[in-house]
Amino acid sequence: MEKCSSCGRELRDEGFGKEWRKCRYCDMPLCFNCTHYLGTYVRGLYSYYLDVVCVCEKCKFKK
Amino acid sequence: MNLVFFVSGNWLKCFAAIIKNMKIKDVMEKNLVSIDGERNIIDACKLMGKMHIGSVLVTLENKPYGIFTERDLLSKVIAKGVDIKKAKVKNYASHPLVTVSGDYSVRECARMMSDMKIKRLIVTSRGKIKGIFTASDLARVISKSPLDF
Repeated sequence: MEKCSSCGRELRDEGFGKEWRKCRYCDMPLCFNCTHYLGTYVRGLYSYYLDVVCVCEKCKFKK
Repeated sequence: MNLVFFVSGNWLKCFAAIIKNMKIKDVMEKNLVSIDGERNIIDACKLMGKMHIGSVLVTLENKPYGIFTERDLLSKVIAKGVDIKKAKVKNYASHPLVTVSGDYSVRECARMMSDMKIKRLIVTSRGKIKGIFTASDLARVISKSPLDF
């Protein structure tokens, strides 16, 4: 069982994707209450899109 | 013939759980309305009015470029006194598109829209557009859920 890297809440393994996710940049587990979202440029099939990814509070303003 | 349905508490809990874990790819709007970016804004407005929608996907050379929304119309066109009969949609559309994977849950997308202060998310899969998830889709899903959602 993992713990939220921000608030320390216990996270069930089967709840991944439903109750918690991992930060896209630092790969630390995050419960949904501590999740932040960030738009990142990704190359799509036709052009660049602004893809929304899940990040922790520390990574939110990193470039 | 009158049919009487008995709704048990367990059924409601089960239904609430389904909605909480519902993926946006299951509830998104798959039929996207698009307009060529070289067309005038008035054409986009007519299309939006005719189809009863709040936004149109803008394409350039049949490739998705951006999205023209009611907010763009108000803040970039009407507020600045742009001539809607001459101005081209591509110059006033929101670009780039804000996209998300279809595997995110409805609840998470609601938070994303709130966090990023947007009302529309383009759903993509492997770089290809699959649909759009809007605030009205969210309202539709929540309206069908039990009161304890």
